[in-house]
Amino acid sequence: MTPHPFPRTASSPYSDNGMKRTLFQIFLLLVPACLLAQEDPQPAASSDAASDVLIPANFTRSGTTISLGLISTSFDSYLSPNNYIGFDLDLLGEDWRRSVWGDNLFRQSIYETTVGLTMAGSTSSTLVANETYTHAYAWRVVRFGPFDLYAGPELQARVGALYNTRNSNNPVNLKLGLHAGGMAMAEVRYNIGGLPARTSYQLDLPLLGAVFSPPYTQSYYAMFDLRQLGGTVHFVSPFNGFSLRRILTTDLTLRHSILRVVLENDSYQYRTSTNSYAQRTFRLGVGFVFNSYAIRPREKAFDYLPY
Amino acid sequence: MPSVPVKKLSIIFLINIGAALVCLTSCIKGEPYSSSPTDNFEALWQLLDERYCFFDYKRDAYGLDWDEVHERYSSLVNDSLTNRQLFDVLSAMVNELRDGHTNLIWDFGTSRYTGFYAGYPRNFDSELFSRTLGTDYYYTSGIYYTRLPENIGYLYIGSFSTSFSQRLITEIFRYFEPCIGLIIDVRDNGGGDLTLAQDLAARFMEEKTLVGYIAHKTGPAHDAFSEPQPVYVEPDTTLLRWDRPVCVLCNRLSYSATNDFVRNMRLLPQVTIVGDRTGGGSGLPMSTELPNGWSLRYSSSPMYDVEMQHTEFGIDPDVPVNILAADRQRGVDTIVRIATLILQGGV
Repeated sequence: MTPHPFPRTASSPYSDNGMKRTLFQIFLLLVPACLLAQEDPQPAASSDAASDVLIPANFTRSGTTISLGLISTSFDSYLSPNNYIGFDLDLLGEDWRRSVWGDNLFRQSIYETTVGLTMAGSTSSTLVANETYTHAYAWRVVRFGPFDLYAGPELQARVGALYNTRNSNNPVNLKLGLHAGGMAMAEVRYNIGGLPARTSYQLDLPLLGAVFSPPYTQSYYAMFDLRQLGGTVHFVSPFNGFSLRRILTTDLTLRHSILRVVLENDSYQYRTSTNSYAQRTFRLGVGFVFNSYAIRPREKAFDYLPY
Repeated sequence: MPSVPVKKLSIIFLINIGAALVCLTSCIKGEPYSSSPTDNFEALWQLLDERYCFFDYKRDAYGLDWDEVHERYSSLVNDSLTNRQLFDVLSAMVNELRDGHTNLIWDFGTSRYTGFYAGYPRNFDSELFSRTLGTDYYYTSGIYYTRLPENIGYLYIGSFSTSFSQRLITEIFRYFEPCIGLIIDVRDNGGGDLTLAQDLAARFMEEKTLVGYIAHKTGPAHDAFSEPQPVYVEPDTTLLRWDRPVCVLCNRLSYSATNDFVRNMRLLPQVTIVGDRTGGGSGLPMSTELPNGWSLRYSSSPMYDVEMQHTEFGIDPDVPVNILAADRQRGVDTIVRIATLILQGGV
């Protein structure tokens, strides 16, 4: 007998389990729509109720904020020995979802795009642009009522450039860095006026990495036109530059939306054998959070077809 | 009810406090702004002391003693100086390096070392240049070109700062196709884009050619240099190249990237360098700043010729020629005249 191309397995919609799962997913898809549609959201019964929500595997919390930052230190010895200060505009995006490998393992991606202007004295200015991407796996090490504590490894990539408007022969210095480190986050869920809210405090700590940095006064002409790139990659650790990013995040439910307020302190620095770089920024930003539930991958959708 | 895991929850706060303390104690930061003349004098002297690349060479060449320079000039600086007075003193100190690539840049002035051309015959005259070009010439992208009556191509490049395309060079070579030789005049060309100068030199080469070496400083010591790395110029063999005789005309104002162009061209068998010694400027410049925001440009990476010799003080021509007063009175550029004779086989 020729086997049926789409046998009714345990995940088939005709099986009890499959049917329940399908209904559950439809329910999850409808939940955000219902929340958006209702005029007067029902307050949660208590903070404990808010804390006991089971996080489904296909849940993703995506937050995007725009921040204004104060750059208290911008220093690149390749361009200038002077300390620059200024401000920047920052776009921060975070995706937080449960990992497929367990109920207590979560995956976090943080994208951060920054453009800034710094000054030293009245005539010198430097333009700053950076892109930072952090990918972390966070293990929920403590769960106690509304409190969660996460920790795990992370990988951080930084790409950017500084443009000194007064330097004629070496106006630009590229910033490339790849770091492995750890993250830790404390989270508390609570209610304000009967509406759910959460606050988290996160540390990103790059521990080991490699950065691109010109050796002392080597020119970009020698590095890129003559391809003399030897000695331009340097290993960094907390011993030659302690970097740390701290993010305090609060998500507040406001009628149909979730408002996010972020306070961030980013300190990124390293000292190679011949050059030093540091940038420290304090940012305050606001944005929105979107909770979503992923639909199953397309190939698995065949399991649901009524053949 | 379970007890609060204070110990575990406090871990993150301990990490935070510890990290913040480490961060505070190991903060890397730059120098603060200062308008004090003595601070800026010391900063300038130290920046050059740690970054300038020709101290040892110039000590041997003319006895430069940078410590002695500090002593001599520090007595001239005090905190009552005005900005202009300070600029004048610092400019004079910078010019002790005898380097056209080392300049102090203030909003209201830029220091310049002129010793590599001042006091020498100029060997370039705009009136004679006009007469050489005549009225039938082409001009584009900073390049003048024409065919001389002796059936010789004449190409004047006044700067390597103005970019020109390889297509233009191909078109000029086509225009010069009937010519028996080519004069490339780079007198009064103060340099510009090194890559542009090397790409032009490549149009006269048949194969990848070693043209010199470059090193860079590896630390603040006067003799801290990387191993010199070879510099090759490689022609694009798909482009039209010139293999007939060439004369390159230069004078004391042929400086920087032009000095590099002459260094590369003189390696080629069909090329003769005619005119005066070039101005030099073989240190690749970089910029930095003083605490008061004044900009400082300085030579940071020495470039050598194929024999590992410095060309910082210029390159001697194969055929030294100065413009003669008698020729000038007749409206003739002596250097062009001699180059023409060379290309005609008369010299």
